[in-house]
Amino acid sequence: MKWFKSLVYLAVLAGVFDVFVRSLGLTDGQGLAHWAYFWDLPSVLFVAAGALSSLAVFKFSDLVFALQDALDLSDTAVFAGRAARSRLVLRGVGTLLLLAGGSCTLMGVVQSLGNLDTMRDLGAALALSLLGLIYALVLRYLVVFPLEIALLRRQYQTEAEVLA
Amino acid sequence: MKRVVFYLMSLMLVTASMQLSGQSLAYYYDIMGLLGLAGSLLAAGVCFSGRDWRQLWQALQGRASAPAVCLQAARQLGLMQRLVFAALGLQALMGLLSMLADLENMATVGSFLALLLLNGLYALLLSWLLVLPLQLRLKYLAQSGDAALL
Repeated sequence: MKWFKSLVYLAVLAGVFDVFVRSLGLTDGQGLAHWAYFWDLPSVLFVAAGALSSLAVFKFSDLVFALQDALDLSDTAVFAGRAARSRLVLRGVGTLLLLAGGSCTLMGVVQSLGNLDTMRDLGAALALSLLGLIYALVLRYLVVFPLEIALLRRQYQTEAEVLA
Repeated sequence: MKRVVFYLMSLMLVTASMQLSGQSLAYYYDIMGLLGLAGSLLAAGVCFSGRDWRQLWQALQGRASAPAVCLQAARQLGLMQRLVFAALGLQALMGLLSMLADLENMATVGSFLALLLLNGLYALLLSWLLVLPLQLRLKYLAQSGDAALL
């Protein structure tokens, strides 16, 4: 039920974002076509590389455990033993995502500024280069960060239960 | 071994992304930025003693005897990262100063700015692909309390 509520909040957030995008004037297409402005495959691949690089640091099982701990799907006794590690894993994944997004954006900006002969395309190129950072920020603050907070809340609750 | 495969896969994704967007590696070569990077590593050599480097090396090889050594090594990596950011930031600022002093030639402003931003790109890439993974790994080992896992 708790996660159903979170999904509802995420849906409301997507609706607010949709209104925001429409109010920016990006409404050339019909329906949800304006969301296509936010799609760029190279940026998606770059940020995916950031997410994948977390598997070069942590084991896949650690990522699964961290997710289970955050979603309250693991046993409390097991959770108490690995809470700190799960927090490290989630924080690490978030930071790697942000660094990948930042690198993607900087690469795009360098590329755009290196081609200043075509000034007309500069705006579009700069806008495209920002997409990597946007993806990374969305993943970091709408996916990983809520999980981190849920994990922290559970850790405090577990510690309070132990103390009581 | 699995970790190396995932690392290589993420590098391949970066390469695929660059190829898809039609970028060439030549845009990202700047000898001054690389010299700044080397300078910051030399500064790190001045800041830490031989014992610190030995401990870092042992921790990275998984031969550290105590979790505290892993944590100390992770802290050293964090300080090195700060040195890199400071050196490359300083270099970018100096480049900006020289660009502003020579603003009559507006045609080269774009490429000059791109060169300045390359310093930031080097710092971010170094942090993303090298320093942070090692740092996280060391912290992870310190938390699991078993340095032999590396």
